[in-house]
Amino acid sequence: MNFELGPDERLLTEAVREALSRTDTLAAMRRALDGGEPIDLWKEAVRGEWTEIRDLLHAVLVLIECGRRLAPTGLVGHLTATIAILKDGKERAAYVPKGHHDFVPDAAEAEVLLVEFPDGLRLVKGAPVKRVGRYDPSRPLGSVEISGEGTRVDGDPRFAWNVMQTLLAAETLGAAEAALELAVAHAKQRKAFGRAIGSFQAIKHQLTDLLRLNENARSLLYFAAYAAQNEPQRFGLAANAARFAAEQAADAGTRRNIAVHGGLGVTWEHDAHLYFRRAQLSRLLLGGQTEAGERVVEHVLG
Amino acid sequence: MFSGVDLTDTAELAAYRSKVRAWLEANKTHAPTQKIGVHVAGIEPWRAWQRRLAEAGLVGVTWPREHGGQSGSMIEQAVVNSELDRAGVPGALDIIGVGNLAPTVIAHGTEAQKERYLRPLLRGDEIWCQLFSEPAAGSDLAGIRTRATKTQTGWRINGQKVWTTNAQHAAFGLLLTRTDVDVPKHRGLTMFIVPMDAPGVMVRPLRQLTGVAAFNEVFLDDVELDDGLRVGEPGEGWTVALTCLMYERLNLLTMLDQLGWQPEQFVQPIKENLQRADLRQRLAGVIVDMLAVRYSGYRALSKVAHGELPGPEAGLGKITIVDAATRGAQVVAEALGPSSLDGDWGFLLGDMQGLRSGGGTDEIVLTTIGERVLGLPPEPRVDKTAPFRELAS
Repeated sequence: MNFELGPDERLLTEAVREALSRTDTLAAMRRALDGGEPIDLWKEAVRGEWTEIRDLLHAVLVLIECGRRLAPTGLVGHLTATIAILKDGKERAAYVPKGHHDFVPDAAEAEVLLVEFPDGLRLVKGAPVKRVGRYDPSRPLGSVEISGEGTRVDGDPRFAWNVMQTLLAAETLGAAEAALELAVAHAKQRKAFGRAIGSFQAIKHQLTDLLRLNENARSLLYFAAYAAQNEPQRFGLAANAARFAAEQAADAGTRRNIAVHGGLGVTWEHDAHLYFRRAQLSRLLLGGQTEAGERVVEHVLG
Repeated sequence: MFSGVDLTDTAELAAYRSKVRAWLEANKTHAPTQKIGVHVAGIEPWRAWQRRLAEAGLVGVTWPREHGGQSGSMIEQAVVNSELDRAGVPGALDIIGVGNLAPTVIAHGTEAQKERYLRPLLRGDEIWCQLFSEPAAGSDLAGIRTRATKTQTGWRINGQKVWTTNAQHAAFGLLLTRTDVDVPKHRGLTMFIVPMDAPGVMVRPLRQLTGVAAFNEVFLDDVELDDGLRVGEPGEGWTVALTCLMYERLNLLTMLDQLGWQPEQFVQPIKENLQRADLRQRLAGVIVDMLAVRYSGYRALSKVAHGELPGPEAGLGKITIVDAATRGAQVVAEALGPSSLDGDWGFLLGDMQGLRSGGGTDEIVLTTIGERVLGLPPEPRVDKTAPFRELAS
């Protein structure tokens, strides 16, 4: 039995962190909010061979790091399509679940869309996609216009949905962990009433409670990665639970991060609102936290 | 190759598991049939069950062989516990003694103490209790006031302990005392073993908000102890106490199947009453938290299996589980209506309010982890350097 990360996984995390640190992704997001062109780190993902990851735990670890930097890599869509269905697919892909054609992660940049129709999956090329989601331009989202065309592909859409929930949850957790790091760093150095504000229980307890929420979400992500491979009948429960927990953690974490920073936290120049935007939009995507909760209950009801 | 998280048994562990399972299958008719809880009145059937488990090597799995254990791993103890749960039978009666107090004696006690106390404890012949908390010292445990003063032959104890589980059944207690008031509080403590039938020891049950008397007050009035009952050096009591609290965290990790309530427990009774979307959302939150505690526990257990000590962050699981069980009981009560409070759900709801403080309040857990794990600065304190005499008032 082992349920903690080993040297391989830690190495992967380090490598992704190092690669993403070469781009000022937060400054890029702020520029995009002011009308600039959003950046796209797909090439970085290809260079790191992250696009070829087919192990769900490794994909989770990569996306946590992407979320931590609010880095737009196209990996949620691509890895959902390839891990769940396409396996050795080389083209940049995105996954479009049934009934969710709006605000589809990574759809606008994809070369090929894997679309869930009522009668099964089809690969679609050249479908018109409009970029949406100005509220958080760090995450590429597309509104897809689907015609009935395309090539049929075999695969289990429920499995794909659960992979997507897991990857979204991972990316969201990354943002939550980054927000907590910012808040802790500030609480250690900001002085009030003659001492660091992190020494006050009112602050300390809030921040430690965020650690609790983050670690809970992280444990459920490992559960999802494990279940996908070993307990397929529990994968749906695990993936939706991870999504629910991650959205909850990011919502709480990014709001408290603003609060701990006081007035500073509500300025345009500070990064706090970038993470807040990520959390607020994220928790609505693909049915959001609410539908994840519905599915968690369904799974336990059996 | 899949190098990552994996909950499957190795071949050896699988063999161990099937051996344990087969034994339980053959012996479970001997298990006590009354409702299982930490706190029961008639303990003799349970005591006999512990003896039987101990003879089969299923109690104190991690204890060294020389003291009657199996020199096994925490993972093996976890396997035993999960198989007990699967068979629907309780484990040892004296989990506090076996899990926390005896390992503390093994770590800090004399050879004579180990020889005398460990085997009867393992078999349940002598039950133990933990005499740490006091009316005026809970979260601030190092602030205890029970005094041990030197006599010609040993020590004389005066003071009061409280919230003591199993004191009414116990043959011995592990007792934290203050032996020196002229040094800062953490340095003036000393640990003892106290025979619960010694003259001057009085146990009084404390009835809780659930209506049940699960724990006790223990009064110590001129209790004379031989110096051979001292565990660790005079002034080293805090180190000994921390060892005990560390084992408490460790043991919780091996009991994930028993302590982490199953989500099904909260869902099944109300599966016909879930038309309201808000109830389903709240129920989802409960389920998610319970799963999270279980899988966080596996992470912590893995660290331990790799030779690391469980960090203080393991305490966060208790905050989550108490909160989730409280919310879960409320959801069930809302779905079933007010009469549900008259039964098990009312009991659980009340019981959780006690567990919120038991084993460390949410507040002390958050403070400790905030400082040790997040590295947040401590609050300014006046009590760490001043002699205890100047603090006590």
